[in-house]
Amino acid sequence: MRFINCKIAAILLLHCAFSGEIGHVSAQTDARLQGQVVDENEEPISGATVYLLQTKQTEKTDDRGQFYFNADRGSHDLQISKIGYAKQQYKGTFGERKCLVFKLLRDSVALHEVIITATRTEKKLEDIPLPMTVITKEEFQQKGMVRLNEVLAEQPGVVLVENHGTGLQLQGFDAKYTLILIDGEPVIGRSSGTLELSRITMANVERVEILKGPSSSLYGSEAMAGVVNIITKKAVLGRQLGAAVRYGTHNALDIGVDGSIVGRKSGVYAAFNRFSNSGYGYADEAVGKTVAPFYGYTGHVNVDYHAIPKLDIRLGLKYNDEYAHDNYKTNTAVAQEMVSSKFLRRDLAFTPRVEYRFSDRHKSFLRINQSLYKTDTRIHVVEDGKLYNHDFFDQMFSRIELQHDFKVNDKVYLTGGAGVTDEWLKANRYDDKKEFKSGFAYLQADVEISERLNVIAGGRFDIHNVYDSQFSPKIAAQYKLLPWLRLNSSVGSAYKAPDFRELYLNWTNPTQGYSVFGAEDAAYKLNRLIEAGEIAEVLFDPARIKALHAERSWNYQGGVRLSPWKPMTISANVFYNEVSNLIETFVLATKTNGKSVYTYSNQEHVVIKGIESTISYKWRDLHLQVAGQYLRTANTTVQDAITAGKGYYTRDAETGTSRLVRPDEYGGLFNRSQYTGNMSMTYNCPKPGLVFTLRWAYRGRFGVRDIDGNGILNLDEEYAPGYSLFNASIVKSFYKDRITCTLSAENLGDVRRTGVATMPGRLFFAGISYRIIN
Amino acid sequence: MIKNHIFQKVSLFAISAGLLLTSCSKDNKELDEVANKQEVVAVKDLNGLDKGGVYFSLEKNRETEENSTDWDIKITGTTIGFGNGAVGQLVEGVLDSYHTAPTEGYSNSGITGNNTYYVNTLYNAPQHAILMKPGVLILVKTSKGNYVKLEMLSYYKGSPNVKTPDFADIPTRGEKWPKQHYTFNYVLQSNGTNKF
Repeated sequence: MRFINCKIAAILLLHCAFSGEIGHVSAQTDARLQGQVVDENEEPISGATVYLLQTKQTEKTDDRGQFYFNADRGSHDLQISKIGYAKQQYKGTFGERKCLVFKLLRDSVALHEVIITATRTEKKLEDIPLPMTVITKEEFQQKGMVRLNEVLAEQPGVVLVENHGTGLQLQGFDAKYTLILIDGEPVIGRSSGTLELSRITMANVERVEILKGPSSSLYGSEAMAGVVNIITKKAVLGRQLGAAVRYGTHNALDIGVDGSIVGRKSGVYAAFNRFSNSGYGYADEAVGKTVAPFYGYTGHVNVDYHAIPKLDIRLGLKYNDEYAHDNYKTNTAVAQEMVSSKFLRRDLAFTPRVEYRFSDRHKSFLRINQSLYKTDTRIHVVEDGKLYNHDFFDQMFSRIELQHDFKVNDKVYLTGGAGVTDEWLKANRYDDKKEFKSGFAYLQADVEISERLNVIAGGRFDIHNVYDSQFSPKIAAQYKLLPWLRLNSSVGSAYKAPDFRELYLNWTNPTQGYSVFGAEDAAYKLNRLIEAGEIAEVLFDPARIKALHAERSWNYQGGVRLSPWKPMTISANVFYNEVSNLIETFVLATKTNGKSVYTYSNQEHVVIKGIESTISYKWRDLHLQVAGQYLRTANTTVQDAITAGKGYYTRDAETGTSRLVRPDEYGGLFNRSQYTGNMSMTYNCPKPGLVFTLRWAYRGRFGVRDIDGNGILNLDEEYAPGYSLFNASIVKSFYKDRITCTLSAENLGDVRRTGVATMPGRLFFAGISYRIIN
Repeated sequence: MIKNHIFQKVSLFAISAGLLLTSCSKDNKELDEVANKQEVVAVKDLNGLDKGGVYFSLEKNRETEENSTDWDIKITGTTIGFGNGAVGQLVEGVLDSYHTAPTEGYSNSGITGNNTYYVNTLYNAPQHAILMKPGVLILVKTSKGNYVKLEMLSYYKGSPNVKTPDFADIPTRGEKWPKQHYTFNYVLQSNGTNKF
């Protein structure tokens, strides 16, 4: 692989050829010095700051990357800078009608990463007053990772959890509270709140940004725990073509091709990926696998067009299809039948985007997102081919959004935006087409109060046709106490809107017989069941079912980032979240078959708090990173009742009689580990061109069941034991780094957990990638 | 009489708290003395499996026939029914520290359904088990009008430890610990008052 931005270098080019062609030089007759700033592709850079050291004058480059000074001709020292580029000092000799060209190179991503997720504008990672993790292409290629779940599994503060798919638990929040974006656009299609992470390939990805903490002030609903933003590759000038293949345990095969053709005005980037697996199970059953055999495709095309220097147009198209096929026996009390299931998941997103730069200070983005998501499961009886069950789900998401960035001066940067969203779904578990319409507006100010203090404050207002309007404010600050020590803190509020399921679900479990209704229709549905004589007892007056409110959180964070000496950085962050109005199911009525009728209501109040710390150390070719998180969670309603000595009971181990649960026995929320940790070691051996990595991920014990029937976590037996996962890889590059071979292993210790799809035992992979055209 | 550690702990706590709060300790002691007077009746492995149900007289502490006029409760599967004029209801509490029975709210309709006095674990481990919910008491007004507080303890013969992997193994669970063998404790206040 060739990593263009790996080395920071600045080259001063003394070209005069351009000068004669510059059209409006004559308009600047009184300007005696002129020059141009370009990037590594000779593209002009606008908005770069040019500082003349001797005369202490500052100018900005215009749309053509040109600058003019009223200063004496001759030799000058210049300093040129722009966010995202390595700041450089130059010496230039300016003559009459002579235009000097200066080349400014992009920052190495690894050193001064420019991050887009935290503020919706480009900002250096170290300047962001919020906890963030960035994983670059280099990192996940070195570790042999090809899917998003593999990348996220090893990040500090992240635990992969299983609930209708593999999702991420971020800082103790369930998967449904993290917004997943691709190039800033939300990915739709969740099952019970989980967005299946393995849907997303890393083949076309430049980097993954993880922003921790509430981000509804910019992104609206769902961004309560944070945001994962997947930034796809940006094509560079010229032609490129590459191919990669990885094969491993369970016949896991990942094949990818990507390439680009980019000219001065336009460019095309395209990527294609196929991913398949022969499936696997935990028990050695003859039929039926925990993960059914599947194959999937991802296609991605970006077309860029720089119509005029001020205007960029990008059309993005991404599609993802997955097919799974399985045979198994049904498990109902009535009969055991052999059935065959066919599953399809389709995900299609069209994301056109226009960027217009009015001037150095004003620019606007118009973004459109038209996404479609569908699943379709058909189960047939093998014997007679009869349709046993058909489940379908169609979702459409449309959004148009305008963002405007205004640089008031060098110290104040405003970002604002507004948009409308239309979302609908049709599914067999819903009566008819259900639709959400919403609108939103947000504003953020990034203010450099002094050289040391930077404050970012903002808020977002969301208006919705079904539930209450939401306002989500946030303020964050960074204080540079010492050159190597920065203090960060933030206070923010976020929300999670009630989803289609919580509002409109109409589902009766065909094998279990219980029913779940969304809160909006529950009263009506219950009355229909009463009329049909299916209800034995009504336990809650349906007239008292309340309209659902959004779940709301307040988050407080404080952190420190220090680099006491160059090879080492340490960061630590304390977080405290209070979530109210948590939406939970409750029993509405009992059916004549003895099963319950459930609906949703706002009930619980939860506290999630913890501390997370990362230490990173680079010594020559060795990079070591250690991270840990300590987490405490509690349902405050439960905790208060236990403290007050009522409501929660358990059985005495010896006598078998009931007693109250003691406050110290309460273990908080299920599926949370108090302790988690990660370690990663990368050794880059330059001579034979080898890279070794060894990683360790630890998860402490976590609550998985309720044995004593009190609904809470309080017994040691209710926990699953903790585990450690070891992963490793070796990468060898040949032929000027154009061919890369990778051997990797996941879960070397062969840890297995029944029912945890993320842990199918030890996995080995071998991969090769080839840059066919560089 | 069942030896009860919790009871001792509660008493100890009451006494030690009483050192600080004299007015409090007096009430607790009085209540404790009352509680001490009644016997906890322990019923073990009442077989409701063979005949598909079992009839029981709380007054006489013995199993009866269906046509007897003595029985207060009948247990069939997971349903607790009342007969011969006995009525009942569910309340929250612990046997030892429950002192005053409500005088109203009783009914002769049976107590049934998941999450009443028991929990059907369904797909939670141990899967498909009937576990008695802690902190739930069944209050019965017997055919003679006496109050009874009753705690169900187990649905399986031998009251197995439900936390073990052995119990979680469904195929062998039924052989080792046959279902519908009821174990429960109860206290009868024979003087007709609702104070235990």
